[in-house]
Amino acid sequence: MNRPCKSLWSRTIYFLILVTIAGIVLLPIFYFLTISFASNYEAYQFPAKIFPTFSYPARLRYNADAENYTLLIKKGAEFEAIKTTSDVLDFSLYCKNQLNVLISTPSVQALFDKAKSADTVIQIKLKKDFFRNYVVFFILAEGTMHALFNSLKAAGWTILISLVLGGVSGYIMARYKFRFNNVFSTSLLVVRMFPAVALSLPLVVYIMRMNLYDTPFALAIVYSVPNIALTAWITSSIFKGISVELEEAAMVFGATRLKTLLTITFPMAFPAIVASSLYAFLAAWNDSITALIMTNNNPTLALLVYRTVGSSTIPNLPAAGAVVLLVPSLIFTFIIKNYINQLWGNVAL
Amino acid sequence: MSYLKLNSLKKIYPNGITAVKNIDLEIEKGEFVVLLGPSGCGKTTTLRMLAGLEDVTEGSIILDGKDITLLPPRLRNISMIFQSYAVWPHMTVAENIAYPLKLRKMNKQAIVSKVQDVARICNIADYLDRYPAQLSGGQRQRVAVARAIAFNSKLSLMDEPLSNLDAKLRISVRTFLKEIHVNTGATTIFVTHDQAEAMALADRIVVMNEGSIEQVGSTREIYNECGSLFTAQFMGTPPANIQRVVLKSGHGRLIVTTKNDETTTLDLGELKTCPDMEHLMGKEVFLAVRPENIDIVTPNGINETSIEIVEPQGAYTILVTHVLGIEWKIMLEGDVDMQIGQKMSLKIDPCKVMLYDAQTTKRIYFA
Amino acid sequence: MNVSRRSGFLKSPTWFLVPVVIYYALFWIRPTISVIIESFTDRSGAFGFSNYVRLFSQEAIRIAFLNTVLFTLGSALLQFVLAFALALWLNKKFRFSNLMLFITLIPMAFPPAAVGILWKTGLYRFGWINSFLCSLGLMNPANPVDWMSFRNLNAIILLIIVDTWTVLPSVVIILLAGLQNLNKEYEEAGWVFGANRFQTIKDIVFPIMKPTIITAMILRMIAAVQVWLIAVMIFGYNVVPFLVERIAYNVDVITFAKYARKDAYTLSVIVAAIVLISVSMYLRVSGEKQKPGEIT
Repeated sequence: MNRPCKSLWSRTIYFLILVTIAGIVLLPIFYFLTISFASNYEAYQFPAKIFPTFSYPARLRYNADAENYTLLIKKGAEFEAIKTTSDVLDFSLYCKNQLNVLISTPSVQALFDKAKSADTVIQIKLKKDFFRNYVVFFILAEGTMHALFNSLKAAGWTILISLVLGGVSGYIMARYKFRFNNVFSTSLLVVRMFPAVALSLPLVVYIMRMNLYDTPFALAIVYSVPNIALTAWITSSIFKGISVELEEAAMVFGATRLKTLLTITFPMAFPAIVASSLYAFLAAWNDSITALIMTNNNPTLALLVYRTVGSSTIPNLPAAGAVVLLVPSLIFTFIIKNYINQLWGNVAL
Repeated sequence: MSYLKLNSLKKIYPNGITAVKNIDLEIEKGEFVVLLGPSGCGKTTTLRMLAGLEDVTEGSIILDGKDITLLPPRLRNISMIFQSYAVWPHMTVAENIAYPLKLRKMNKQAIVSKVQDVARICNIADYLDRYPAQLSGGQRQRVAVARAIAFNSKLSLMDEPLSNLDAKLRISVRTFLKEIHVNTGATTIFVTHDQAEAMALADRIVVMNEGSIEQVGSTREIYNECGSLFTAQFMGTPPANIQRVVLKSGHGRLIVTTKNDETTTLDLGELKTCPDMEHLMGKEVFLAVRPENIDIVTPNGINETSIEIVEPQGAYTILVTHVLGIEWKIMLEGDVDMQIGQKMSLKIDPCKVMLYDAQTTKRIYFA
Repeated sequence: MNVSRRSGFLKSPTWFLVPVVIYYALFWIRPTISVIIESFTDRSGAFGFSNYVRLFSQEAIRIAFLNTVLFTLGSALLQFVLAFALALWLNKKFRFSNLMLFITLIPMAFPPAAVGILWKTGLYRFGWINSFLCSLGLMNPANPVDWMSFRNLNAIILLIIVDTWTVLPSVVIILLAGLQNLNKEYEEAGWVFGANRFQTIKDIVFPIMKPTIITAMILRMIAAVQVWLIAVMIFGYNVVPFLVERIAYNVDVITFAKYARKDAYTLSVIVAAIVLISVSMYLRVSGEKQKPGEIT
């Protein structure tokens, strides 16, 4: 309903609600992102920062009496001494491991010389290797890249199995009336909702017998159980919307059924195929419980990220892993979002 | 002081589109006024502004002395029948009728008896305990009518309530609505694009086009004295025959001819039967002749033409022929036995033709 | 199009469903039956309820059950109230409503493991929740609250809040779709005939939306019953037991304990039974109309 003039008061309230909700959603995300870029040193700082930093304003002091050098980092209004050493290598390693700053030993030597020759403390700017956490987590840590590939493989197999089996079922459900139609679609619904836990546990035994334990393919088998049903549901609703006469026209003009399907039906159903693939991808990418049950040395990325929480006490590296886990999921969910809205009203695309 | 006054009502949407340009209207208590026009003419927008469901950009609405322009709908004391009837699906018929009365805090006994009364009037007394999903479209519509009657408001608004009914039902419900109006005397504003509906129901018709009022008048006035070319084109089934012509006189008769073909002429009758038209000679006008105002006589040299198509309609017959180069329709009473190709002469009553200025499309009156 | 009679029995399209049926027989029917049977046989092979009896004699399991119920009902209630309010608000299509929908959708796209990490980094003593509160002046930096030390009901409330942050948008979407399918004239009729804003929502919008709300809530509860990852990531095992958390515990931590396998199997049958009951309720309410599954 329209009020003749929206008062300034109600507009302000709207704006406040808007900002609060946006804040509740975005604030944790910003903090979380910043932590993923934070060096070990920064991760210990409290209160935590909301935006990441790219460099440290710092000072280097030569201690004449001990003949060593002290590194001071700006904290608030003051500079805090965090490392004292005379060894160039020690200093360089400290910068790398604790500050995410990559600085070669000759450069350290140069800084030392500069500090020694200066009268007072020298100002230096230490530039952060911004993505260091990600590099450490994925390239330097063992098994992370491997887990990433496992996730991708599992997702790929899930998409393949779901599309083939689900797409065919969807097509047949849409085009042909047969006696078990209702039973079939109800059981598809039940299968979609069935808890994966109850499925994964007994399946481990069979998977072991098939020598497939601890493989992404085995995971895909489990992930596909609900996803075939989901794909069948999505595609059948689209195929119903594609008039049979379009196919019949092609066949009248000489195309075989297979060719009709490939050149006419499936291209028109393309949005549904994309949506189903994305759902299948997300099912495999996001899951942890099935991976927990069915893998041992070959975890998926989601499982690996879960496991890192226990092991390390500072959250910056796990956060980096979580961000990488997050990015494909975010992208694909937003692509699907449009389809969700259209599918909710049972309206064909 | 009129009961309902619309003063310079204007509606401009945020995206810049002007739906209603300038509506000035005065309506008496108890009148049945129909807003008539093609889609997009602003009639529904005007109605919704009256209801309070659309903001008024400029202008005011005064109902029974009270300025209601800025009031929310529930404080305006109006009832409305929506195009989709808006009969609440989760309430029974009785609850639907009772809900507005409950909101008014009427006492329970009074509500029950009122519901029974209107249900009887609207012929839905048997369905009081049913849900809308169990009713047909026509029955649901009667529930909407009953709800409005029970509410007994100052102003009754109806937004194309007959559009979703099939043709036969539309006619019978039309009569029903007129009966209700005769019995209750409620001031009613009715929106439709169907001119037959408008003519049957209205005390006065407001013909609208592109956000403005074209003409206001009784059915007779709107039909026979069309003030603008638009009204002449809009009213009438089949529509009036309209052509751009030049007026000439010859041998004491009023002749019209097309601009580019001076040889083909149409004889409109003796000049002396028409009021003073000397000053209009040579003028370019739009000529509008209603199909029922054309007569057929055996060929006598005036306006000779041949029949191309015959469309019998039972109560009347439509003949299609070509006049002045374009297709004209003629309406004759009853069943007329004519053959395709048969020659005939057209006799037109000059007092019944309507002329419109070619530039302004405004009606040229003879008197 | 009917099953073609002319092409012959072998070419009948129903044959194309055979692979799917085989797939489900192998990878759904067989495991389901096997897990049910396993839950009803004890370690020596005798048939009976011994597994169930043993489970419920353990306090941790009883607590897990209670926690699961509290969490499910609590989160469903909170999420319904917030989602309904948000959906009503976003339905107005004010200037930023599309942007707002986009923003609130972001948590929905997070994998559960990522959500766990995000909140863990917030909830520990030097995490960002306390950082934020300190920067607002609401907390003394010298004395930060240790959220992860919460136990029992407080811990469950914390988890409900985290869960709401994550899944609220998916509920909002369902309710919003329902609202948008609602014929606007039902509300307008309410306004015309005397109802104010609140009465219109209470007497007209809410009752008509009931089926949509119930189906959304059932879907939500089916997911809530299976909560475990955020509980374990934030609090660790054993601190706030839930049904599936117990299963994960048996599988991951005490894998070779005497009854670990049996307990895991039996618990999963219980979870499956709860889910199936909810699904049948969902089917009854929503009739033939099915909605696609959630993302989480």
